[in-house]
Amino acid sequence: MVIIKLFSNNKTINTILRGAAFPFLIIVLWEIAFRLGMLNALIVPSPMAIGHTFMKMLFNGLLGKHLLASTIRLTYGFFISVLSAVPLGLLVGKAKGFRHWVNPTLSFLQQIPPIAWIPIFILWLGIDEASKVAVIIYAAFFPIFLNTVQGVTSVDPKLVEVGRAYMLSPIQMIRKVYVPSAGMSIFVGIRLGLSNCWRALVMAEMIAASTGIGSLITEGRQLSQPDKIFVSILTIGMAGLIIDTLLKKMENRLMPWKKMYRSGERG
Amino acid sequence: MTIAENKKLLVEVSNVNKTFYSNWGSVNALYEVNLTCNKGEFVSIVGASGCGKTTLLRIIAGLENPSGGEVYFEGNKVQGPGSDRAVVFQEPRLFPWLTVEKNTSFGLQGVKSKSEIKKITEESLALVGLINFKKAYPYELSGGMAQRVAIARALAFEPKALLLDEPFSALDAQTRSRMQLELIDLWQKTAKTIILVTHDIEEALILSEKIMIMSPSPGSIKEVLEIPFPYPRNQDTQDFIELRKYIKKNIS
Repeated sequence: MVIIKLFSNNKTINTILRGAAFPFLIIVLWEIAFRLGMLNALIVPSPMAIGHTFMKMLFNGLLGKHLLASTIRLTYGFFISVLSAVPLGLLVGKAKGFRHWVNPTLSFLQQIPPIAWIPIFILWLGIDEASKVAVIIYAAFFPIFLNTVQGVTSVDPKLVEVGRAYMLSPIQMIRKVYVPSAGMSIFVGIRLGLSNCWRALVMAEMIAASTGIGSLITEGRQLSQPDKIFVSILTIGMAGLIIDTLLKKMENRLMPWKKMYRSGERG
Repeated sequence: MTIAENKKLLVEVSNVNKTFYSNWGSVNALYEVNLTCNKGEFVSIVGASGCGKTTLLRIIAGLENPSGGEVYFEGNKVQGPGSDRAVVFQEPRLFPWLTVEKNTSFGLQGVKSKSEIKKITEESLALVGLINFKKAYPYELSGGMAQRVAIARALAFEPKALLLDEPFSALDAQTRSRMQLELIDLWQKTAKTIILVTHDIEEALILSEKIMIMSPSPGSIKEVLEIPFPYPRNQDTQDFIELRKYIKKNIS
C-alpha cells in the first residue's frame, strides 16, 4: 500500500515537474536575454522585476483588493447564470416543442461575443457592478445551457425505460434519471462557463472599471508600467487555473462513478 | 369473468397481436398469442431470436402496448407498467451514479419509509449474495454481480411476478449456470411467479415448470410443455435429453 502511494505521489510530482518545465525554460531564457541587454526595460521588464512587483503588490494588498472585487462579481454573475441556464437547458432538452421556439434565438445570441455587449450593458445598467455582472451572466450562460441540453438529450433511453418500469412520476424521472445522467455534461458546461466568464470579466473590467484585476491592466497601460500588466496577466491565468482545478476536484468528489467512463476511455 | 373465478390464475394473455411500423413497411411481430400463467409458477418462453418473445414479455410488463388483444394481471387489464410486475432486462441497466444499495432500492423511494427501504434492500441483497457490496458502484462489479443487483432491484420492488428477459445471455457459461441455480433457489425461497424469456433451451429446461415454445414470423405460441422433472434438475437423464431434442426440433 505504502509503495503504491509513494509511487502515485511520485507520479503527480512528475506530472507537475513536466508541466512546469516549459514555462521555466522561457523564464530563464527571458532573464538571460534581459541580462545580456537584448531587451528594453521600459517595454519588457525582466522576470525578476515582475516577481518583485508581484510580491510588492501582494504584500501592500493591492492585488488582493482587485482580485476580491473581481471574485465578487464573478460569484454573483456565475451563480445567476447557473441558476438560469441549467433549468432552461433541462426544459429545452426535455420538451421538444419548446426547443423550436427558443433554439433560433439562442443560436443567434450564441454568435455574439460577450465583449460586444459591454457598451450596451454599460448604457443600460450604468458603469457600476450591474453591467459587469450582466457580461458574466451572458458569458457563462451558453456553455452551461448547451451542455445541459446535450446532457438531457443524450440520456440513455434504456435507463429511462427502467424508470418507467419502476413507476417513476415525471418529476422523479427528471430528478432521478435525467438530472444525474445529464450531470456530467452539465458539470463540463459549468467548468467551461466559469472559464468563459472569468475571461469576459477581465475584458469588461478593462473597458470600464476602477477595481478588479482587468482594471489593473488598463492602469498599467496608462501609467506605462509593463511589470504591473505582466503581474495582472499572471494573476488572471493562475486564478483561472486554480478555479478549474478546484472544479475538477469537486467533480471527482460529486461523481465518483465517472471513473467508469475514464477507465472505459482507457480500455 | 372466468379470470376472477380462477384464483390461481395470475397472468392471462388473450389474443395479443403486435405490429411494428417503420419507414420501410410493417412487421407482424406477434399474432394471436394466448397464454396463461398461474401464481407461483416458473414459466419459460423459448424461441429463436426475432420470434417476438421479448416483445411479448414487454407487453406483459406494460412497456409496450399490444396492437390488438389484452393482457390481464390478476383479472385487471394491463395498461402500463405496474408495481405488481418487475422486469430484469438483458443488460443490468444499473444507474452508474448510484451505489449497489441505491440501485437496489431504486423503485422504492417515496413509496416506502426509510427504515422499510433499508430492510427490504438488505433482504434483497442478501438473497442475491451481495450484502457486502452495498457501497460499491456498478463500475466496480463484474457482469454477473451487476445482473444480480438488477435481480435484487426487481425483488426489492416486491412484485407479484418477475419478468426476466434473457437475463443471463450476456454472461459467461460458468457464471450463467451458477446464476441459474441461484435463481431456482430464489424462486423456491420467495415463491414469486417468474416468467423467463430465453433462447437457451437448456436454461428453460433447468429452470421452469412450464415451457412455451414460440415460432417466428409472425410470433405465436406453438406448444406448451409441462416439465415434470424434480429440482434440482439433472441434465444427463435420458428424459431430459429427449425433451431437449424435441424442443430443439420444434423451435425452428
